[in-house]
Amino acid sequence: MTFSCRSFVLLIVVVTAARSGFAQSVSPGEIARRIDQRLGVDAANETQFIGNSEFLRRLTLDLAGRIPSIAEVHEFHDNKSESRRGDAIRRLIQSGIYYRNLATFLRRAWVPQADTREFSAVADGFELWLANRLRDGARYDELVAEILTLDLSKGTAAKATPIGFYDANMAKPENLAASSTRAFLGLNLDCAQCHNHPFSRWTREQFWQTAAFFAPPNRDGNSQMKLPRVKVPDTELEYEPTLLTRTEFDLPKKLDSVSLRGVLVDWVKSDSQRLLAKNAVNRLWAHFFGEAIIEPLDDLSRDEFQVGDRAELLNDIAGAFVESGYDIDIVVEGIVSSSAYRLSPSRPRPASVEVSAVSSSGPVATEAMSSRAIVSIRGLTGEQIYDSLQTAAGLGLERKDLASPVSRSARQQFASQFYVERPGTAERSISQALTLMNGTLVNQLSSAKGNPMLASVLSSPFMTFDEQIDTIFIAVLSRHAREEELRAVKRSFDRQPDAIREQHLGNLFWVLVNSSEFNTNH
Amino acid sequence: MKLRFSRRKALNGVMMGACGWCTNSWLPALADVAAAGQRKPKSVILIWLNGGPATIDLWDLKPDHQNGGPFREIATSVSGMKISEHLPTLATMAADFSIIRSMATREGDHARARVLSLTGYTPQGAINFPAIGSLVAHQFNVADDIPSYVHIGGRPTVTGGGFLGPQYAPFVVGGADRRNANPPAGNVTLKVEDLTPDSTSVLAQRLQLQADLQAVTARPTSQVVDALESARERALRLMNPKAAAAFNLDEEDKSVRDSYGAGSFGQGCLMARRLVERGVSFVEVALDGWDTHANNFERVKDLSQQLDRGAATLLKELRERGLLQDTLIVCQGEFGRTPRINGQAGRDHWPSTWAMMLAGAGIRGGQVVGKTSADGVSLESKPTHTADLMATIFRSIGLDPRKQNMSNVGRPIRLADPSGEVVEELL
Repeated sequence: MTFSCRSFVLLIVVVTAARSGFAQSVSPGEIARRIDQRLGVDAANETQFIGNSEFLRRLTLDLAGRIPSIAEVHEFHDNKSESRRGDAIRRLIQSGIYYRNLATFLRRAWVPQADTREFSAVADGFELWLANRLRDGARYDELVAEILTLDLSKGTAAKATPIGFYDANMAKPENLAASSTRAFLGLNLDCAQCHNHPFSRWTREQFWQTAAFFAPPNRDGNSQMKLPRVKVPDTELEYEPTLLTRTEFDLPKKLDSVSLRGVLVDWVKSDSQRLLAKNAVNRLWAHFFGEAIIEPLDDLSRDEFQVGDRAELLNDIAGAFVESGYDIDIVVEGIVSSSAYRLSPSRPRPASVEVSAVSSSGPVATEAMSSRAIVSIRGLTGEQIYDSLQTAAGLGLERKDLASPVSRSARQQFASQFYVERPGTAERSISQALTLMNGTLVNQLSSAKGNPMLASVLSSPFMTFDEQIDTIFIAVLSRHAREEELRAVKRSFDRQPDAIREQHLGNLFWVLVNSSEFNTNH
Repeated sequence: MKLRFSRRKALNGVMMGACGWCTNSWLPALADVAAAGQRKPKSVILIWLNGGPATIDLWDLKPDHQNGGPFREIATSVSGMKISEHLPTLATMAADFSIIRSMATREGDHARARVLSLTGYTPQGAINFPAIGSLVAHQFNVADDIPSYVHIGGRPTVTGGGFLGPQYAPFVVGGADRRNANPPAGNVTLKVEDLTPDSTSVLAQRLQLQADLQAVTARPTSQVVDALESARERALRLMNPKAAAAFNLDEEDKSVRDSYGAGSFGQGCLMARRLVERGVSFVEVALDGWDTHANNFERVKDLSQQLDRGAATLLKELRERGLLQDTLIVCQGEFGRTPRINGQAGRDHWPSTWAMMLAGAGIRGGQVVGKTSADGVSLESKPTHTADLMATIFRSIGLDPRKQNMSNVGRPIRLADPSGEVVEELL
């Protein structure tokens, strides 16, 4: 019980301490400062940042998975205090929709198979479980441990369960090994499944040794439980569970499939490379900035990624994540509170700021990081488009927990039709473009009959025509119409004298939801 | 400015369409298309047998061995060339197609094997390999309102255009959606969803407003935004009724539609014929359900009948219309299935020895390439790898497999992996 046991005890101490509050040595503000320092973002240089409307829209899409409502836009603009950005961040992080959005993000990172037809059934239960646990305050490492040490022998009738992780991997040791290392550690082990590759750091032996942790232990001749051995298909080779770092471990007192996977969990939590934290932070970064700190997402251990700006940045935030006791909310709040998060997309940072950027660990922001834009324009996911359309039209969001488990809801169908693998490199298909133009949903929302927002604008006698147009801009694009846009819209209306005002404003809604501005997070 | 111009053009197209709908006559439009194509560019139709077909029960039977199962072999119109009894119509047309019985690949996982089969390359690292459909569409670069790479009836393996970009991504017709576990079976009406606006006059108003607003809005430079705009442009061009008509099977006689078979595969073959007639470079028609781990023979029999009817009618019509010499037909899945029959009367994944079919374009028909052992487990001839097949496909449609495209990692990538050798006896 030398290695794993000691680290486990240590971990319990740390976690317990974190829970009681005093060991929480890192605040969101501290994380934000580290990010800005590393990236050399000068908070005083206002020209590099997006405006208030754009900030609220970006923040709400990232934290709540939808655009802000008209009321939220007004509330933000009416709040003139210094802390208004922080107020908006905390309001969103404390909302239920934040957990639902975070659950979708984590499910997609951990069980990406659920976005395919074959395994679609597992998505709902898994996301519901995640949302519930996140709402209960579960820490990131706890969630991973709960998934990896799930007792499969106990059947469950619960709707919210992480069993989907096993279902999506068909409960096969080799699939579970490949998925676990990719999802939780950012390692791509499966290339080594069939044979050794000249450029891969992992061998086939290591792959199957990891897979063996997911095989059930069995009884030997003396009815003693012994470690399982997995056989490599089409060979005579057999392997026992061995950790990737070759770290020795002691057998659990009561050896069964749960405690054997527990060994893996203990190692993951205590691994000195901190891959558990780095992988989480790297994927979160991709969620908020488009491109991850280290790309590809599943090759974190590659040598050239261990040094340089990007490695340092990832180290810093991952370190803070561990310090926080794997508190996702703290890291999320830290990221969105940073000045870097407010940078304009696709705009190279001015070179001058690099002078001011020297941290305690040396000069930062060398070429590698600054040559690329930090924030990229991202395509909206299917869920984001659907929820944003509902929000823009003043309709309530579809409640997932009320949806029928059998028939797929309109939201699920829409989300799967508009699925994007990585928002930062999202492509749109012709079919998707057709659906946004001619599909039933958008056409219903483009008339006052199916769109409460339009209906209320049309029935507001105190509103001028300009104000009505402007309100539709705020509803869909979360910003006021610019002067020249107002003029262009009215000129266009004038050229179509046959249409009545309701038709005009419906057309405007249609045009705006079909714009690239609505369809991206920028 | 270019953007505005094309949008106006699209707008005009839709407006013209409004008149077209009134008279309900497509014939002049079709005549235009036919007259314009003096020299028809080459096309490819990939009949994709999704799931990994038991080719030991289609093209390379082993009736004298216990691995052979219950199916019988039948003679074809080419002496010595025998295929499954459940492909009787194709058997009468054997002079039009050839079989490779020496396919040997290394990927036994569906996803990886599909990527290998469709891109010609083993999935690796950051290189975003395009599917062969995108490569062919890109090479021929036929300018048209109809997308040059169309996938019918399933879900394409590579959904984007790889490093060639979204304009070469497959356009999907009639596919089940991504997460729909139970797509409807049987008599599927193949159509392009949301292709027709509810009201053309309202659409015209909206496009006008869109153009007016775009004129005063600056568009940020971004790959994602470019992809969005490009998709919208192409969607608008496709809505032009002349282009949209390509996907309207109602324009065909009922007898023709019936001859292809009622299912989405048969109707997909008919749509493929209509699309290559209009110069579409690459069409994939998917027939799903070949992952027969259990109950192999009953399922393969049913699937074979669909395949036989659809593919044979397609071959026949292409020949009758003088299109076969310019259209390559490729029929395969991601791998074969174990010669040994498992306990559930099924066959499992088997990439080591399998067979596929080729016809049309530069392919000499009536040939059988390669030979497997009596039990089907090993090869008794030189193996044909995916790279060899890819090189052969490109050559047969007049493309140089060694041609390079710049990839997303800044390294040029050849159309076919340079290790591939053309199977000369087929050309």
